[in-house]
Amino acid sequence: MAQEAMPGTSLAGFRPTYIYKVVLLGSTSVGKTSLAYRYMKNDFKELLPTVGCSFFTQTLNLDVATVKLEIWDTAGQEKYQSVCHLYYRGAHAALLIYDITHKETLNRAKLWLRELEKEFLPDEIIIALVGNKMDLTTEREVTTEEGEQFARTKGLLFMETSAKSSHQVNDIFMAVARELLQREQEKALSQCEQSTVDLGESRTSTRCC
Amino acid sequence: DMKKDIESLIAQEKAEIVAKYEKGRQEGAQIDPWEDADFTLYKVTDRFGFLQEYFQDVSSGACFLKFVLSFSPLYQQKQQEIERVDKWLKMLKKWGKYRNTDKVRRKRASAYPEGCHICLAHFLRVCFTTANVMEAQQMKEQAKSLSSEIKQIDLDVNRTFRNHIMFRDRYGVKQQALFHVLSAYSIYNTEVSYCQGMSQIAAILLMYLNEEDAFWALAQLLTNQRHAMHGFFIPGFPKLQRFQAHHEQILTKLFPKLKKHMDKEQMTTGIYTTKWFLQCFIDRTPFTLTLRLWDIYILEGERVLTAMAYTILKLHKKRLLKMTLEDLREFLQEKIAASLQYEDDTVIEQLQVSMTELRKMKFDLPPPAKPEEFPRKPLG
Repeated sequence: MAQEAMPGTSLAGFRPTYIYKVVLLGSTSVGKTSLAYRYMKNDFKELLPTVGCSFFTQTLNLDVATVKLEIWDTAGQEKYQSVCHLYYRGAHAALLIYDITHKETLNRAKLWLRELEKEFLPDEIIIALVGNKMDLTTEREVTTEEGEQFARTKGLLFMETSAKSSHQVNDIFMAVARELLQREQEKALSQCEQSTVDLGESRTSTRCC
Repeated sequence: DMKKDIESLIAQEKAEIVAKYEKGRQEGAQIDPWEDADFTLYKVTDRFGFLQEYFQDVSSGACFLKFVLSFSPLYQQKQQEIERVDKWLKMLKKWGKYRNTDKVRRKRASAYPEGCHICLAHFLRVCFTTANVMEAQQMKEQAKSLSSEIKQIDLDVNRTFRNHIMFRDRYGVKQQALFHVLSAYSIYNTEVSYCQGMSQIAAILLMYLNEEDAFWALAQLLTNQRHAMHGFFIPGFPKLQRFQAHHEQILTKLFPKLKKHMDKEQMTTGIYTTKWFLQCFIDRTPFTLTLRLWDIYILEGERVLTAMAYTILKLHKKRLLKMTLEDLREFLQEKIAASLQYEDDTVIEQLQVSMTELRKMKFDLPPPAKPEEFPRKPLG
């Protein structure tokens, strides 16, 4: 699934590096760039509307592996989809972001989901629904339950965040990374089982997973 | 019936947005505290009007301080700017007579002093008559009910140069003007309507021009022959693709090693040149340099885009060769926006050299535009 860079083996054992492409999708002005900026720089500032697309990379050193997230940020205006579409290809995860103070942005996120469903098989991509702008709860138009329930029926990860106050920003990216890793391990395990069957009892095969 | 309901809801939402800009910051205006600028932090502005993060006390009027300041680079810079504007004004007075002669072009190209934006922006504007003014007014009125992009424009006005003193106040005078310019333009040129990226261009024009002049300046930039930005902002972005393809060719021919390295790192021109070309380096170069690039862009037209993209790579070629994908991105998008690591004057000199070089190799412009890049529907 992911491109795998071959790391050196240390005494502690084999600790692989995985590179994953994560795309941020959602209506205009829901906070896609702000979420990425908060996650990358732990800061919040007045950002200009995104023109075209860009990416950030973040490396996470987890217990079992090093995970490199390539986070793709895109312009929210639909006109840019034709240009940005190219970059969604081969994504391993998508964050569908909406603004909890604007109901129609959740509808747009639902449309995005349909787009993704057309392009990816369910086990090809991990999708998280993210309700941003938790700092503006007084203006809320989408209840937590509504987001949660939609996510549950569609089998998506779900979190409410605030790029401004930093609420759950790390958590959502971490949750996505863990999920990606888990799938990677499941996949490796099933491959390993197959090879164990093939090779009979062979402990050396642990090296491959 | 449901369709009607949705339509009336959209119309209502539009009307509410328009009403907010109409009201501006008059008494009784309801502005959510989170939407408004944060003045709790003490901030001062730099000489262009951008808010600085740090405290600089230059306000106390002591003569001694003024005396000391007169030796400061900032003060000298200001003086220099004033002199340069003077020079430009003199040069531009003769513009009508000589503007197309090679001699003036060469003379002009040898200087490109800072500070001509004020006069040049006026040059962009068509010498419009009262009829034009009426037209602009009418469009402004029509836009309020007709434009489909009101909401997008509203969202973008709220986040365009909010760190600049002019656009700081939610529904302040310049935010009102920006809203008017963009919404009027969206019905003036229906093929472009409004496209993200235009708000920063209009905002820079509004730093030096009033609302109507800024509107016509924008109209010129999009449809005159020299800039023809129309093709940059229509669906599919055909002009962007043409310029990016050309940039890639320059890279392949002139910096083959760098091209190979970028390919290996999977850094594509689509990632780093989009804002360079669509907005002529706004937000991708330090603001002092952005203004000077815009001066030259207004004067010389689109060849500046090609040449400046080439110049940036040329200046930093060695360094770029050692960078990973993430470093390349950070450098080309963030680091050079803070500093190009050369004096503005040096960059401008290098830009001139590049323009000459590229012209000699017939690389100064991409192949000509296809008709689809130009307006097909009547304007206005």
